[in-house]
Amino acid sequence: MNIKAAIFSAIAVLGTLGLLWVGYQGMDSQQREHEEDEETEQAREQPEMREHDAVRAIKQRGDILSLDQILRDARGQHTGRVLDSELEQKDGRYVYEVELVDDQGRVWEMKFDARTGEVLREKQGD
Amino acid sequence: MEQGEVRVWDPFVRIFHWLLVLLFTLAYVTGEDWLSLHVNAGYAVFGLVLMRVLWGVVGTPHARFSDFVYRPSRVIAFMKDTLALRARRYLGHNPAGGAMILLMLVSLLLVSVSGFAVYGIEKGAGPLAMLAGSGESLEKVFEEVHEFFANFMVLLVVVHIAGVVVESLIHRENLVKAMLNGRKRARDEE
Repeated sequence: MNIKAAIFSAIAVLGTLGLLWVGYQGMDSQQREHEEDEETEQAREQPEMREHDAVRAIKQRGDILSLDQILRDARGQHTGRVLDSELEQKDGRYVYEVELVDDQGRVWEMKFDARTGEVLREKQGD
Repeated sequence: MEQGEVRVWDPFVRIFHWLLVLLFTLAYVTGEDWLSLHVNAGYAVFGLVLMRVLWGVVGTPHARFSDFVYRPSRVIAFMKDTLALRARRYLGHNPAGGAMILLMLVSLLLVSVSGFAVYGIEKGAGPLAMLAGSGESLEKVFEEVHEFFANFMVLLVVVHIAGVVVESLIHRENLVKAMLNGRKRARDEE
């Protein structure tokens, strides 16, 4: 076998396996996030239970609005059901990422500034 | 090696091809939900494409761009011949196959780089982490580019498979097998 082709092949295979391995390992932490999502889903019936402890702690410091407060406004435009919500810290500010489905069955991906409730983005998903 | 067969596709060309099939499929199905695996599959795709471009310059004869990049007029003439089921047989890539390779390489580069950009802006991570905080509107542009070229790749894959099937039938050879074992019939029987 051509030595150059052997070297290229080895790099391609080992590089791919290495990257996929690292990617797979990285999923552990995301998996945990998903489990937390499920917890919040179970708590959805009781709005005060919706947010995770850490989120509640930040909220209690008065830095951010509660998701319920923000969604009350958002529901005005898109009445519907929340599929998924996440609080993220981005460039030092808190952003809620919310996925909701409206009465027409359309899915919306919304982002809100957690401090002001301002809509940062509104995108119709697939 | 059976009699009358020659080695056409070197090991790297074949490994590149099938790894790409695996990685693109993986990246396409994982998407945002399994981000860590999705992003790493994207890095692997990007790396493989760069290696393939280099291999197109220093690789074995049929792997080189000089072997399969034809003028657009030749590509169009070849596709017309194919539709008339009288396309000439090429031992390496035919002109339409060569054009498909270029389209796919460019699309894959655009998909991966736009993906890095979205990742950089949204999560402040990856090779384009310096784009963090460039704003929602720029992120949206890269997201659209990323999604468009990912779906465009799916279209190219469908056309590619159709082309392989048609050429295989016209010349009564199994091109999928050739991409697995690297060998093709040396000469077209008259």
